[in-house]
Amino acid sequence: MLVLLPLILLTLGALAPLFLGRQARAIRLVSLVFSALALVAAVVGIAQAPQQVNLPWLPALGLSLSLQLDGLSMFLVALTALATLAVVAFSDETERPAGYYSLILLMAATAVGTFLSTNLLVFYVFWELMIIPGYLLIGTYGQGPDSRRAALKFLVYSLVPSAFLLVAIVTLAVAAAPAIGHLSFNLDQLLAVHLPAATQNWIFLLFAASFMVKVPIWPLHAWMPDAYGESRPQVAAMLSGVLSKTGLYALIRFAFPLLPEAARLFAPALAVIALISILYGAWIALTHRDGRMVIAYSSLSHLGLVFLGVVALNALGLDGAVLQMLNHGIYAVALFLLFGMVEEAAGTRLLAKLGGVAGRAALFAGFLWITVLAALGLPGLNGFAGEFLLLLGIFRTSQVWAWIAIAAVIFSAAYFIRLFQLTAQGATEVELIRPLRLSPIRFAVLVPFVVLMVYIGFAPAQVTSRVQPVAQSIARLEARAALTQPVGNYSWEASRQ
Amino acid sequence: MNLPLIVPPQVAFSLISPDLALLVTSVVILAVALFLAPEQGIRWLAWLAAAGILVAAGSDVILLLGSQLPATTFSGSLVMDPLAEVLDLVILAAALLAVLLAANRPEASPDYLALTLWSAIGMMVLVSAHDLIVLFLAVEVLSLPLYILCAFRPDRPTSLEAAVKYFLLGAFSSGFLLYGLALLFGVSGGTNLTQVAAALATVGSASLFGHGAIGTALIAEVGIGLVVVGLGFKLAAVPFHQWVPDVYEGAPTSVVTFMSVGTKVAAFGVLARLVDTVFVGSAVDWQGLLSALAVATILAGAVLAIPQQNFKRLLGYSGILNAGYLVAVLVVGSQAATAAGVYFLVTYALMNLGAFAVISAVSGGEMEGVMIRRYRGLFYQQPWTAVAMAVFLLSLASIPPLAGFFGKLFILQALISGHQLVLALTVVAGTAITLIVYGRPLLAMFSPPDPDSPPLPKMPMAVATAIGCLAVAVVAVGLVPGAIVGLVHGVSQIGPLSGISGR
Amino acid sequence: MTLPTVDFLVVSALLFAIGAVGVMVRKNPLIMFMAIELMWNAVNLSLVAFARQFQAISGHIFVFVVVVAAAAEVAIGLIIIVLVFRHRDQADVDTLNAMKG
Repeated sequence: MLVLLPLILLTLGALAPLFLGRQARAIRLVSLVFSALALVAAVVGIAQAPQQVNLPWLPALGLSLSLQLDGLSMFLVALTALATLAVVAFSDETERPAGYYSLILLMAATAVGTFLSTNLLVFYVFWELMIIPGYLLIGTYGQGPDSRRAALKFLVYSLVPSAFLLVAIVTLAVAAAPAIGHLSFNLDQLLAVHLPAATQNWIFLLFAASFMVKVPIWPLHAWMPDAYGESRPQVAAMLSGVLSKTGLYALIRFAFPLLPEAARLFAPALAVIALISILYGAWIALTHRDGRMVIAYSSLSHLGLVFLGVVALNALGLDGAVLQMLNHGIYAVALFLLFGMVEEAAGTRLLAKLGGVAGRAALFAGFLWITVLAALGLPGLNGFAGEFLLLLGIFRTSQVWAWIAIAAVIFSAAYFIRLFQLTAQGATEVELIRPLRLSPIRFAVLVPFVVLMVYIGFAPAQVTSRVQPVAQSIARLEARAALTQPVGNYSWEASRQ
Repeated sequence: MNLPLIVPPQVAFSLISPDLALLVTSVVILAVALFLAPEQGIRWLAWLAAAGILVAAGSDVILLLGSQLPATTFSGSLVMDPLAEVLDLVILAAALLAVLLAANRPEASPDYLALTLWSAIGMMVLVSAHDLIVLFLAVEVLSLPLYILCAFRPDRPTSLEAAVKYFLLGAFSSGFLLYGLALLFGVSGGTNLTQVAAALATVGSASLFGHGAIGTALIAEVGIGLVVVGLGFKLAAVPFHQWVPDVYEGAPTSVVTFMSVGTKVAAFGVLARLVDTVFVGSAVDWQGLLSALAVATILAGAVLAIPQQNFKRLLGYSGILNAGYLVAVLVVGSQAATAAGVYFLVTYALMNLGAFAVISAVSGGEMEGVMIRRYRGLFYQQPWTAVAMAVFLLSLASIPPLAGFFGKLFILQALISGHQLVLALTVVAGTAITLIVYGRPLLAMFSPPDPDSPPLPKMPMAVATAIGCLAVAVVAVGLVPGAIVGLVHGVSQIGPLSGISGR
Repeated sequence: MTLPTVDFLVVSALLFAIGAVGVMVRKNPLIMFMAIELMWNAVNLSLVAFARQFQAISGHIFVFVVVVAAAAEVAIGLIIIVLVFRHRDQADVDTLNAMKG
């Protein structure tokens, strides 16, 4: 039951605003309470994991509500709850509050659902459902003039691959059905089946394309600048902090273990894509004039590194990937929210027009400074631990990849320091429309972020030791793939009488 | 001179009790209307029609739960099996909603109610038809009232335009259907589907009536092709799809509500029966034809829907698209595939009826009310109407876990199990495009409201109840798909749904 | 001497084709409707020829049913077309273009 609790709490939190009409304060408070409760449930879940539930849903289709809380998912669930809490605390929507807070919590609930599901179809349910709140939040609560176009772009990029994902999932189940004995979408049962390479390959491509769009990874990132740029900073924080993790998580949980041979086959190509992502993101982040875009493209680069760690296909890389996903979630959410406050206070997000925030609001600048340091990978803070582990894993697979990736890490120090300098320091004294004051709630919410940055920085083993068993079992699957004989030959041309 | 003995056909009236209930109701309505002043008492007549439909549905359920099925009657020209009864229920649901929607509208009149019931009878007979003549007759009984119903708002030029277009294309396509039926008769020498199936199973290179140039196989193939194309008109499939958007836009919303579901159900039912009893065993390549039709229909419906600004037109193209899915699933030709199609139809009926009910309620009979821009800010004016509409649209776009998703899932599974890659990919491509199509009204509903737009009309209680029930049903069927699988499981006569589970 | 059945079928097919082409090229709904009637009656010819070939009474019954249905179709179709004539000076399907898309 503990597994379901964050999911249930967030769903209830999403439904509650519909009954509260236009009372903005009450709605915000209710959302805060529900996301805080979900966070508590998720933290208790980390202590109690691993746990799982299996509720029958549609037995005729091998469909059961299988949710699992293990080393891979528990930190991401907690991250989602924490991010939601922060996003709600940093929002003050008064015009149309019911829709806004409801959609934010719905997005969180569906993301938690994708992290927990171990049934492919249940996963798909949450995966598809997750698109809708994103679409509506970008489209109807957007900031920029082009928010509708940005929403449409987000929709197209998310939906088209995920429609084909359904074909891939069903084909996988149908192909595995003879070996299992009945149609099943359960991960445990599907993992035991070894499909022939020809079937694996195209299923893997459909899986990978769909998951990589969500991260996003170059060249499937075209929706990202519009969606992150046209939406509110709080929504961008949600997209970057939580939604991007679902894509990486799905790759680790489903695509690579289920289709190990295809994964090995495509790994080099994916690594090249990851490297391009890392360098391209870093380059744009270094040169962009728009502060929020710097954060957005830094995400492209950092998550590209995580992707590279996954593609390295060893336990160390996977371990580092999960750790770094958690880390990125923590500092990306904080960065988007803090910079969002600067944007709102200054009325602009062009770096050239910002500056001197540190002199006006020292406490605020202090939070921003720690976050930036964590993001650029200062030893002792969480970003460093994750990157270090990732690079170790990548080294084991290929030294060339690792050296290129290290270059990107150096870049990241450069663009984050530039972001901080142009915002907080510098000669230009920005004229503030609104004071940059952290309310008690916002302050209270930021504290755990800073604590986590420091704590994970000093004791990353608290996370990695729990991820390790899962990472090792996935890595073993990849290694075993080459040894066993495939069964369940499935091709389109066959057996058409 | 010896007169041949006339043997009266064996008729089991209990088997056609739903049809009889509608017939009696319609006659009673017309008779009572003679004694009522016009404009007066129409609501009572509408309730009477609704009661008659409920009685028909009740006797349908009794048949479904009883042990009489499957059975044939009228000398084997009508088949009453679970497939027919389940589809009958869907048709009756559509008729019920049409009557409820029309009750407060200018188009409401005794003739309107009677025509709707007659058309429903035609649809119900069509899904039971097991004879070429009955099949043709049922198509006509179904269509003729609809031609009139389309023209039921003669004050609006669009209504007449819709009627003319529907009538001309309908009669045109009936010609094709009729020619196809005649050719099937010519190959087999009998009109019962059993005879036709037996003849088609043996067609080969043998020439027709000793004439060298024309082979029976060719005649059979042309016949099947013409029948499929002719029925495709009712299903709203390419190439006879052009009427759909115009009729959906021009005809009264209550009529469109009824025909969008009813004709689709009826045409799918008869096509499924033909596939199951005649095509599958025949020596004719029917799969290629259906595949081509399905691909063309799906792509046309999806792509043409993108630029639509009128909600009814948009749903018209969506109807074409969904017709494509139904044709696609028939290609597989297995009983599991038919069951998947039935499941899809049931879910489609729920969400499509719901969407039309909302359109009818929001427009209040005005032409401007059916434009998508009218839906801006609906969530902030009538939040629950907007939530219900969002449920219907998301379900139509097959977003899980709503009813439409499982309908699509079963279709995909049937196609993939039947090794139909191209069709499976076309189906998901269509799905991907539709969400983009439905995304626009969805966004509009949750956008800030337009300050200039007039206030929304008040919603009649019956319509609000219907919308609420349909929305709950769409969600419930999605969350507990097992419940309706159990209902459709009764379709085991033509396709056991257990077959859906992969083997 | 009797005519072979196939001859009737060929004539019927030709009539059907003429009707179908007529529907597609003509613009006046009345003429289009006449062409449709031609198609239906071409089918009737086929049905009668088949019925004679098989000595099957069902074919003749089929023809009667078609004739009755066609009569109903005429009644309804003419009403609709006349209504259109009443609303406009001329009836031409090309001018029926209030709805597009």
